[in-house]
Formats: sequence, structure tokens, C-alpha cells
Amino acid sequence: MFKELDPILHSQLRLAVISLLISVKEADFTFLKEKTGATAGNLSVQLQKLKEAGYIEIEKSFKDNFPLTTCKISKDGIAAFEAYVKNLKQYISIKKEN
Amino acid sequence: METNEALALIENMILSAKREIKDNGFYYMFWGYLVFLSALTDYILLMSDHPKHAMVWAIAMPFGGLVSIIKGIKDKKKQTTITYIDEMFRHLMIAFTISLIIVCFIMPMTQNNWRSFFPTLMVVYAFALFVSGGILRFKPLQYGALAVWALGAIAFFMPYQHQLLLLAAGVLAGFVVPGHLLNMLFKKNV
Repeated sequence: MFKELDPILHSQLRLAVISLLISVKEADFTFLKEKTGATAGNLSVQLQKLKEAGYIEIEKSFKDNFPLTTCKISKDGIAAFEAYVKNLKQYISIKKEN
Repeated sequence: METNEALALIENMILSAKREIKDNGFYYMFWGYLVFLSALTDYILLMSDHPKHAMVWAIAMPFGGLVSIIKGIKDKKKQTTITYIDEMFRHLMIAFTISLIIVCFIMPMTQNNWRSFFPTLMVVYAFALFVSGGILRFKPLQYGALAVWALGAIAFFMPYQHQLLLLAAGVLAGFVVPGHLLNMLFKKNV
């Protein structure tokens, strides 16, 4: 069965964020910004979308009097990522057959 | 976004997060040199019949603990991620500290006294070194651990002054050399 790719994950920045978060236990905003090369504004918007989808958990706190945003992938996020990769592989194998 | 692009992006990001080698070998080098110098000082004082030869440990170990705590707090401030490796190390360090406390404070209370202290300590830290090497996938730490286990096993049959020399050799093989190699690898990757 040919499944559609998850539209939440099928976006460059959101997929980059989820791929980073799958490799670490948690990461702060600075790390994600540095690794993805995104602007702070765009990253904030995309993180919010991932949070609304239930794919990540965001915790806001303070470190040395500066605001600190820490992100962590959720169980739903891991499941969505695994399903996305599985579907991606199907797409690629079909492309190869054609 | 094309499917191939998506796959390449995932691969890139995962590799980029993995490449964060954070361990610069500081703790291995620091504790290695500290224990090495303490063991030799204890040995020299003992050989010159100094009555309080073991006092060096009472000064060096709290100093080492204090430096490690300060460095740990500083590093935590700079930390932007908590990787699964960090998490495994945290558990290993908790287990190591509990074992260390039992060896350092409970064991000397027994009749056995200081006879088995250093050999047991060596067996405990060889265990931590071997697991650290496995977590970091860094073989020199595991080779060092094997050397410390062997020296520790021999040390059980030796008198106190010879145990000190075996301990000094053990920390060179298990901490100092792998620590420097780890530091070189870290500098290469940064």
C-alpha cells in the first residue's frame, strides 16, 4: 500500500529538526539553529508546528538569567519519523523500479 | 522536497548530531596525573619512613573532587544538547561513585584494613574505564582497562608499597595515555 508522506515532516526545516532530535535526548534552541542554519523566527514557527502536532515537547526555562528553550522528541514524534522513513523508502524503491 | 533530498537531509542531520565529540579527555588526564603523582609521593614518603605518608591522598582526592565539580558546572553551562552518550555516562558515573564510596569508606573499616584497598580500587575503576571505552567506541580506554585489571589482580598479592607502584602504572595505562589520545582526537574533530 502506497502511503502519503506525512505533511508535517515533509518540510525541509521540520524534517531537519526531527532528524536532529532523534539522535539526541534533548537539544536547546541554539543547537538546532546552528545545525539547521535557519533563522530564529522561522525555527520558532516550525518548532511550534511540531509541538502542535505532538511530535516534540518544548520546555522553556532560564539559564544564567537568559531564556532557554529545550526541545525533545515525543513518542508520537518517534513513531511519525519511523513511519515517514518507511514510506520514503517505498517511494524510492518504486522510483527505482520505474 | 524530493524523496532523495529528504533522505539525504535526514542522513546529514543525524551524522551532524553524532559528530559532536564532546569528550576532550580532560577528566582522564586530570585524574590520571593526580593519582599518578599521589601514588609516587606516597611511595617516596613511605620509603623515607615518614609516619604520615598516606596524608597525600587526604589532600589530593578532595582537591580532585573540587576541580571536577567546578569543571562539571562550567561545562554544563556551555552544554546545548544532552545526547544518549551523556545519559549513559551519567548512569555509569553514579554507579562508579557509589562503588568508590563503599571501597573508600566502608572497606577500610573491616579487619582487612588497607591491604586490599588499592587493588579493589583498581578493579573498580578498570570496570568504569572498560564501559567508558565501549560507550565512546574508543579502544585505548578498553586496552587501558585490561592493563589495570591485570595490574590490580597482581596487586592483591603485593605489599602496600609495591601496590602504589602498580597503581601508578595502572593510571598511566588506563587514564593518562587514553586521555591524551582522546584529547588529540577531539582537537582533530573540532
